[in-house]
Amino acid sequence: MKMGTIRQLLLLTDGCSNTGEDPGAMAAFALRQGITVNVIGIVDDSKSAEGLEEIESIARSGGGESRIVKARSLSETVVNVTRQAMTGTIYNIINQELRDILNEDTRVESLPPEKRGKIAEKVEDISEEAELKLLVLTDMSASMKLKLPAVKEALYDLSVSMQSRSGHSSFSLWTFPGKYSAAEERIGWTDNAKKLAESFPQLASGGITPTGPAIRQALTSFLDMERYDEKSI
Amino acid sequence: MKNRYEAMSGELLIGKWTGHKWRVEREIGRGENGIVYLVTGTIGQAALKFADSAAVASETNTLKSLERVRGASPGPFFIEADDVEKNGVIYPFYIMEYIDGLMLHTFMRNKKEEWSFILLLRLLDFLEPLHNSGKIMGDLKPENLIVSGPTHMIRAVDMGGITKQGRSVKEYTTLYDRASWHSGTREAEPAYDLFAASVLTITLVHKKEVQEADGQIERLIAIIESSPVLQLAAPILQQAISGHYNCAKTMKKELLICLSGKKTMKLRTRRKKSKSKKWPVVLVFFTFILMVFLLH
Ligand SMILES: Nc1ncnc2c1ncn2[C@@H]1O[C@H](COP(=O)(O)OP(=O)(O)O)[C@@H](O)[C@H]1O
Repeated sequence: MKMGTIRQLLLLTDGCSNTGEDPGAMAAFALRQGITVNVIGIVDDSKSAEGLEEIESIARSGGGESRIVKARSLSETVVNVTRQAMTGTIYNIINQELRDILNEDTRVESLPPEKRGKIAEKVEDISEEAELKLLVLTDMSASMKLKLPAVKEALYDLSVSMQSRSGHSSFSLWTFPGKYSAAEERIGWTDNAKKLAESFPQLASGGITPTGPAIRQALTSFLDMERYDEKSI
Repeated sequence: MKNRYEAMSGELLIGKWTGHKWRVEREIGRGENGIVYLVTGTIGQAALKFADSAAVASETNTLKSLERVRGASPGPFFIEADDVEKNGVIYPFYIMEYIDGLMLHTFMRNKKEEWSFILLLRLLDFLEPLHNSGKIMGDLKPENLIVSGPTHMIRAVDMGGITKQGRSVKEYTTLYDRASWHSGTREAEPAYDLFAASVLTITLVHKKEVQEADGQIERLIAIIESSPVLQLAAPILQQAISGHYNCAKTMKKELLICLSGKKTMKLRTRRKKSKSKKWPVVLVFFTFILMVFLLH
């Protein structure tokens, strides 16, 4: 089986969007473009989880994983979610192929358990070797202020994990709300995930939380890149 | 997890592929990926884990590959994988040996702190065959380990982090992860687990301090140095942290020498004259102490 690039958008946020398009709809749009959307909700130790249903629903529409964690365990969660979502993406592709080859309803689950074991082995190899493009989209609204150091640390951590992978990975960092638009690109596509951590801005920008528009805008980054890829081939 | 199957005590689960029947006794535990139940079937008691199909398949592979290590397995023996189908939805699960015992931190709760060394020895016994099979544990933490049987064998109950050597560690927990302490990569190699084993041992005695050290390796080392309990094995714990060991067996050997050596040395200086005659006695004495420890 040929495996293209795995494309993921990872949204880090601490609450509910309050302006613009529905983020779930934008996540569904991303999924149709072959981009999986994962969401990690970061909560305070004290506060109860409110407005967090949205987090799960964005991930569900985006075909990805969602987790709600305290800032303390953000690092391991970012890495684990990225890995699991990669596995998920590969399975989706396999399911698609099965449907094409066999029939409408066939999925990996329709195969006997022994066959699934063989597939799982293959999936593991692919997820180690496949090319990964990961866009991190971080909420910088005022309430995130105290969590930003944890985000920075998590990005550093992600770079360490991705370095140990044998496949090529590239990364990009976006934050929202932007100065002049819903979101802005902070670091364009780079092989060096460390750059994301090193130049991670520590200033929250306050104000609104335009999660939906931010996702829409960040997605253009994948599309631009594709155009660029085509040209370079 | 997307669609969890919540089984009830007394419920009868019927495997779609094998037709085997499993009676649910109770829930044993649940984690990020699945729910584990104690069940009885025609073969007797077993543990049943519901998880998504990818996790079931991958954990099944891991369990099977561990059994190629002859004799005892570092994890539960794999029995079979199957599905429950309810209202058109498929819920994959697998059946494994039920490991009776206490989770590592529960086990330590009413034990003397010196037990942490015995557990470290057992942990190294657990890691050695695993490493020889070309894998590492990855997510080494008390919650994933069970102390079982009269000899306090340590066995793993969560296969999620087990990774082929040379790849990047599949799953980890920051507190025990050497990369989070800025002390190495996340590449799967025996030294990765031995670092975690050392931190785990320190954590068994000084959990709070380790958490507070918050990824600063100097503070971790300071905890070892200032701890009256850990003093005994300080050089070994430190060397594991600095990545000196890449073999569980070597670390175990040096730990044993270290644990016995300290005491013999003290006695030796006190009774210089009878040194040559006394030290075998001391060694026997120490082996005895160790046996008593291991057997209790
Ligand atoms: N074979 C087993 N024997 C006894 N207890 C088990 C067994 N497998 C799992 N458990 C218990 O169930 C809990 C959850 O299982 P685990 O596999 O860790 O789930 P997850 O992968 O979702 O974290 C474990 O912490 C352990 O206490």
